[in-house]
Amino acid sequence: MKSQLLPEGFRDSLPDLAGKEYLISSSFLNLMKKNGYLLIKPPLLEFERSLFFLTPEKDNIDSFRLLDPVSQKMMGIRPDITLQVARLACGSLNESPRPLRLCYSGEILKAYNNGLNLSRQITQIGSEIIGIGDNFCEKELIDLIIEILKKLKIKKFFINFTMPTLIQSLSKDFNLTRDELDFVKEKYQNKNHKGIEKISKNLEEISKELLSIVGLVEANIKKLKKINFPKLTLIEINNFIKVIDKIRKKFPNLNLYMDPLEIDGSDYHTGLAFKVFSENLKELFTGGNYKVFKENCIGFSGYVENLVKESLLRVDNMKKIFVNEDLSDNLKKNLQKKGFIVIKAIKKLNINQIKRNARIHGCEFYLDENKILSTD
Amino acid sequence: MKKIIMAVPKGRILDELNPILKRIGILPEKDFYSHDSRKLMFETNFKFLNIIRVRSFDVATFVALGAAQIGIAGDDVLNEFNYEEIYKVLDLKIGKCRLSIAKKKNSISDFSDKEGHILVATKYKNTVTNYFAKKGIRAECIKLNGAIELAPKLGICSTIVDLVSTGKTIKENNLKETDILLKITSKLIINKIAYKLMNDNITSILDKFKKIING
Repeated sequence: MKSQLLPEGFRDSLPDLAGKEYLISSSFLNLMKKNGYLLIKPPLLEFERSLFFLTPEKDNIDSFRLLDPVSQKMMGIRPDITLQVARLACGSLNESPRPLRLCYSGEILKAYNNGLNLSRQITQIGSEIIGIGDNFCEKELIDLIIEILKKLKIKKFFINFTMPTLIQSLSKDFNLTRDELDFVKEKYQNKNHKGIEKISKNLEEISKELLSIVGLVEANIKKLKKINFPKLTLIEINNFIKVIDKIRKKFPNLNLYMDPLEIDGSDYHTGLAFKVFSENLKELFTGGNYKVFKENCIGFSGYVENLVKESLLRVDNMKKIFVNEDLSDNLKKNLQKKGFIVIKAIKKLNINQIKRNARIHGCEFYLDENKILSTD
Repeated sequence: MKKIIMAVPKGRILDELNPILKRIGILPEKDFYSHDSRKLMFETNFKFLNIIRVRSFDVATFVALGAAQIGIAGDDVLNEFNYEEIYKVLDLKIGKCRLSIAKKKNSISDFSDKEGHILVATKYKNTVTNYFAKKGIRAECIKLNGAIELAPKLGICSTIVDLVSTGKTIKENNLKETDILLKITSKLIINKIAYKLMNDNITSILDKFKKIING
């Protein structure tokens, strides 16, 4: 039979790939578990209203919708598990002691795929700390990121820090109208300051300097300190510098970058946000601070599909052995204890057939009268 | 860190871009100027910079995917793909033209306001669909990749949306330009991630362009 065509952006993960994807998710969850993060598993779909409770004013067009035949209400399939964690944090887990550490791994669906991510079904892994107050928790997250990337054998990576709410502070300082803010945002989105002078000469000058602050942390922090910022912006910038300084001190050998005026789609972040990139310019993790009602939270998440491509982890480093159908359970368990993957014949075979089948199924060894022999 | 790759479009825009590259002092190897060369990637006098020559529609895609880090693309292409992964940092003020609606002269309209429906031959499906959607009209696009002016002549539909620079082709094919969707110039675009991680080299190229363009 010819293979059946799947919808755009959906694919089968066949054995090698599925194995690697599973290994990545499980390594991640194991690491989180060891660090006291509690596993949660929210449902794949929810009513639209609860799924998007953080951003009800947005169109939230990036999700699949379906109508619940029972309640006749519209449901959405989650495009991001972070949203569900936020819902739990202020709902069912409202009374749980803080800080509340949570982790998850699950499938999400996106209505549209884009140039960077061709899949529409993606496995998202992530962890969040709910109720951190004013404490410095960036170190804990970065430690975890370093550890998981090491486990996944992704040797080279870069962390870039941004300030998602900087534009709001600037807007307040310069009393921008809605239209002016949209104009400035569009300019910043393209790293451009031309035309802003029509709103305010001073804002244009600050924008120009801020937009040039992109790249390695060391040189750019110095540049940032030299700029004359208005009141609210200055407070935010000073907080940013403080946190970055702390991170730099804790991680003197990391490749740290910054781009304070980056404007991206994630509009629930506050304070500091970051992205981790691979050497091949692929996004590995994204994270940062956010608020769920009055609680300060921090977290990060990533897509297994991206990690798979960058990870040099090998799935199959266990030896395989082919055995006859009548192998006793005890012997099987012994072989497994020795680290073998045991593949059993489904009917009784003679020794030549055993040897041939061992090769067909990619086994390095076969069992002959309780003797382990090599297929070579 | 890796080399920087700049994607430039083949054809008309490249003719206008070449003098700029020369003034900036970016000198590609000789094959770059030869139409017979089968080469796709060219070295330049800067060790860290290579150039690829691709179709104008593909420049944005290469840069969005991070395969190239810098590119030169027209607003028509940028608007059609609307990639989130790129910055449009600088207006190069070359490749000036417009994306226009043209209709058969004396034609009875393809749509009445009541029907809210129109048939358009174009290469720019997304741009056209969005433009008419804002006016409350559902545009059905027939995707053609060239010689779009033929569509009304041969009775496929009476409205087209295509690039117009002098308007000569439109006139010669008995069409009239009725509306402008987009005024177009070429922009210097940069991949967002590359801009952060390879900022020094990218900024050094960007500054050279800025100096020549803004004077």
